[in-house]
Amino acid sequence: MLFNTLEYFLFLPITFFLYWAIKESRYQNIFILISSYIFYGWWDWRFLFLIFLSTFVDYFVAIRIEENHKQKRKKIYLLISIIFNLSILGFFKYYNFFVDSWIELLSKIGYQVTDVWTLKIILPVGISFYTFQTMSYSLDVYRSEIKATKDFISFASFVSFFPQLVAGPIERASNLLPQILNKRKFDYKQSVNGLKLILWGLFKKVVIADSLSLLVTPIFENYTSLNGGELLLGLIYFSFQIYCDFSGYSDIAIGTAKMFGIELRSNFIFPYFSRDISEFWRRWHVSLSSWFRDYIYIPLGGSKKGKWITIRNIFIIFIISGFWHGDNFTFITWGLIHALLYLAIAVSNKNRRYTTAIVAANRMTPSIKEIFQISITFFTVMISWVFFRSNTIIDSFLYLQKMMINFSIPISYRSGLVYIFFFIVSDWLNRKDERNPLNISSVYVRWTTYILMLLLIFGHGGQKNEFIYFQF
Amino acid sequence: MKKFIKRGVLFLIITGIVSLIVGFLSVFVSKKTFEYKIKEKKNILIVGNSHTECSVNDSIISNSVNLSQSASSYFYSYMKIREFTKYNPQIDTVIISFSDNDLFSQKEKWFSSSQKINNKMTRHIILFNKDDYLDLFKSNPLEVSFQTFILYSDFYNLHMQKRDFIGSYNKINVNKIDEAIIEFNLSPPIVDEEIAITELKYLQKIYEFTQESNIKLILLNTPIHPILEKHFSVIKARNLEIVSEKMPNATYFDHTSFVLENSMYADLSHLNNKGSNKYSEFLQSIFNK
Repeated sequence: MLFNTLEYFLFLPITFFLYWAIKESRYQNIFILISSYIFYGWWDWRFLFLIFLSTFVDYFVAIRIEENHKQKRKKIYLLISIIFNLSILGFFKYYNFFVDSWIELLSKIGYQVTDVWTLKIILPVGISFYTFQTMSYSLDVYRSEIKATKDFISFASFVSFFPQLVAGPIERASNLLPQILNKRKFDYKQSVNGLKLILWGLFKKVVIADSLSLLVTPIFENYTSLNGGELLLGLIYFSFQIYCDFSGYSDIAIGTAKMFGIELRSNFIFPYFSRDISEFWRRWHVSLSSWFRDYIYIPLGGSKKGKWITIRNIFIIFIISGFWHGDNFTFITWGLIHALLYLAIAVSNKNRRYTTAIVAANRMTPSIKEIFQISITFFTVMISWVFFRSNTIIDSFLYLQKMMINFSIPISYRSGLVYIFFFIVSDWLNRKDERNPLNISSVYVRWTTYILMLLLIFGHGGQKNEFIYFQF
Repeated sequence: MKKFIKRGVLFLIITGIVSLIVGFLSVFVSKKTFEYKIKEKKNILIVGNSHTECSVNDSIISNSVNLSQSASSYFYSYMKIREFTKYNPQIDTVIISFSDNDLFSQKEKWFSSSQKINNKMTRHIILFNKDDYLDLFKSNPLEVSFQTFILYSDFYNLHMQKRDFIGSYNKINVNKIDEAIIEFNLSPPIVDEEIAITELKYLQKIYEFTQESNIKLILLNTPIHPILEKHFSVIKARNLEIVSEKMPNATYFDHTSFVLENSMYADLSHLNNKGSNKYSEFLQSIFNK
């Protein structure tokens, strides 16, 4: 079920009212579990079995890890969880990629192999998200950071909680599980804030991202016949399309969870106002980048074991991050570019300059220096998106080459700039709190804004495009 | 919770009322400003689905205007004919796509499926009258109700793209015939069981309307790739029976076997720009006679 469909528009209020009609948290959790499985099964019920299996394995593995006092045995159980989750992820997501790459490699050295080994595998939606979530649970139990739960229903609800099941935020058990285990009480303010986030998320997705996608698709498909200015516009549009699409999804997920009395982690904290690439990665897809930091980068030694280990670790997490997005070398190249950009400031120890406050936190406008920093960061991130969006690496390079060599004032595709201008202004005004958008004090102005946004959402809603991150 | 429900309901009611007002206002303005009038010298109106949309280049047939649009039910073609002939009394000929598969039972969805209503209703809303609306409403009350609240949604497109938004000649430059042939060879032969009742009903309404208005109706079966032809032989015979029985005064042009090179097809049943130019020149020569 997509968040931007009529089905979800009906599903949400029904589940919301039934959920709060149930008084006991234990039954509420059963209800969450059933609703989540219906939500997921709406897409393809056959893959419910996979979620259940992943839940089942990690539930028992975590209990075994906790019960065992010998480190060696704990490790074996942890390995079972990791191998199991990575195996299903690897099979469904990367099997054909490895077979195809192997066949291509063999053909390059003279062996002709037919592709009899490739299979028609459907990628189960959300598999990259929920496998990471269940794995992190076992890892946290192994590291004694949380206690293993014996309540299977609550644990299954934690894994399959429908707002964040298919595209995150990737939750940590330490944040979500206690909320599911404890009693929840309806809170008017929390629910209203949730609705505001859903409205803002839908607006970003349906009005901005989907409108920009109508321009991005023809630009990337016909890049050989367009001028450099139009290709630059295509790149700017895609940068905002992917941001509004994915952060819109996260806002709807966080907003929906709030309506059920649950607080999810923030996933996007105004990444395009970052002053350098390290700040960008603290603000972009936070739940995934922090996952890589906590479960791969730091265990590998982080930046504490000398320069060369740091360089190696940075490369590892960015390449894995690229690979996580999909089985195409374009994503790996995208990861490599970010590794190089990050490395440039990490080796000079400048990667922790902007760790907390947003730019111009106590001012209305940024300084000239900040504008310059933001522009440079955005420009480098934008260039890397070419690799993310193009079908092949060659296409990416040709796109960039054509954009730079054949640059002139864009003649067509300029209409998207209106959306971007509007979005930047509203994001800037809202930049102090990503979880509280549309913070308008006058009730008349506020309701008028809400109604206007709803009219625009429904007016733009004909396409019903999937969220980009569903494919990951 | 009571406060939440109370405010939520109030908000939804206000939003609903506002969207209805905005919707009706936008339809009113669009109807007033829409260019129904076409050039005096154009006396041929072409309507239908993607087959006429891609095959008939109205810049070559200089006295025609093509308002076809892909996946258009005869319901929308009927409204186009009714409204455009009202404003353009010079129209004496209507050409409508009548391909072998246009009455397939699955085409029933072109009228009543949510997806099609979502795509077509607000786009054509300026052509609707009360009866059209009620007919569509009866077929899918939920989707039509929802669309009624967003009547304004195509206001901008209608004003920017004008008449093209409801239909025009579609110039296709691609040629995917090789892929289409491979796919076709893999697919099972076409076996159709029943007729799309609603599609036939509106085709007949078109026929009756043109008869009453003294307009010549041409049912046009546009060129298709030779490998597709034999697959439709049974259906074609049935369609011919329907025409002779229910629309005896209509003219039926069967151009399915019109000879074209492979490079002139977009796919098996659609022509690309090259093919449509050649075919339109042929049509022009017929009309000149």
